Amino acid sequence: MLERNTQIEEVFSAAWQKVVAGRSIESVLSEYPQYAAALEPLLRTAEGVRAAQHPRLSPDALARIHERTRAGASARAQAREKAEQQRGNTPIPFPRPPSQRVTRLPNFSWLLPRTATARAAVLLLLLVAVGLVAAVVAITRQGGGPTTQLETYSGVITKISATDLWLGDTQILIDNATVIHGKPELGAEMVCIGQPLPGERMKALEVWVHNGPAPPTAAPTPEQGWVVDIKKTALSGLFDVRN
Amino acid sequence: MDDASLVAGLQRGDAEAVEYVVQQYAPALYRFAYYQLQDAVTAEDLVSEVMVRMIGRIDSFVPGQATFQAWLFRIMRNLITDHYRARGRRPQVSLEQWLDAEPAKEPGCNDAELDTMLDREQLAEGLAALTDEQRQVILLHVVEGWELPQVAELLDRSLASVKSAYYRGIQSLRRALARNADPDDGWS
Repeated sequence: MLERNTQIEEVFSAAWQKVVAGRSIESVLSEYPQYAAALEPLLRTAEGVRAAQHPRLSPDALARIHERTRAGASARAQAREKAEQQRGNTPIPFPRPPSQRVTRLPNFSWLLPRTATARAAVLLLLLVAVGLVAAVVAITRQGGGPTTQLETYSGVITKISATDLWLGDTQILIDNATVIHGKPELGAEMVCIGQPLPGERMKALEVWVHNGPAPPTAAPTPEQGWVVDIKKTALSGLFDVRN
Repeated sequence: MDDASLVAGLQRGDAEAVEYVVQQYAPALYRFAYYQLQDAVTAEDLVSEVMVRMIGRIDSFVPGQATFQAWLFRIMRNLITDHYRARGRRPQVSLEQWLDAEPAKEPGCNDAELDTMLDREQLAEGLAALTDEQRQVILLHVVEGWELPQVAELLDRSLASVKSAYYRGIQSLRRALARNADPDDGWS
């Protein structure tokens, strides 16, 4: 029956280690005379397993595995790079250096109310507060004005379109400060101010073009203008421009 | 290349690190899978899948918690389990259990055949008679040369349990090989 014999199990493990280390089976058996009869067939079986002709990957199979792994690594690296650019962050090394390690936040659960009703009330208050904050933010943005650092772009208009109001990737966010005067013309120089968004590369630009002699208004509407593409001198890329 | 350097290279997508990990670990993973499944095509597929999953989860590997090699083999074990589950679990009655039920069928001691080198099919058939744990202990410890504590960690077993599985597994394997070597000894 299946009885545990830990002594022979220990001896067998130790004896095999000596065989692996280079000793002959006969030499090892001489160390365990009382177990030799039981050990010998087991050690010879283990030796037979170790020396067996084991299956091997063919060079073609290894090449296929390598190719699939390489493709996976490449796709992962591209996805990671894109994600980092979108975040506008430099990659965080792993494991993180001590200065960037996340520390456990203190537990403030003792401040929370104990009853379900009180918890529901707190939750409701939180939702109302979040809604108010969102509304204030929206109103502030409607009022115009740059919210983050703006950059100046200049280029030559190379294409004008009346239909495609928003082309390509939205790589640059334009706020109300991005206004140019007059009807855009092919070959004309254009200067605009925009807020670049983190992305793979800057290749699209949305620009409000003020139509008419009046100075730019604070909040031009999309119906006022045209869609133009400009050749941006600095970045050598096509920009989709909406007026 | 140590684990930390290798993982850092894989996180960056270095071609050299990818090449290294495939050359270094794919053959052992393949042997491990082959002897579990006895199917070369599926074993190759699973090695590929281990590599792809490893790449996808490389950020979750923490050097020092486990060796990179153990991590790869853990992924492979999970894939093999999934494979069994998808295709219906194979019978789990080991030779040892079978002999307990029918002790009169214990094979004889004529094991001269075992002194000759085992071929792949013989060994695969013999290993198929073992429990999953016995088979994995023998493959990792004897074929791949892992220390028993490493095997115990991978299998989530105590060292004593793994030593027992090793001893009983070799015993059962010897019986299975003797039985398969002489089909006229009443085993058929």
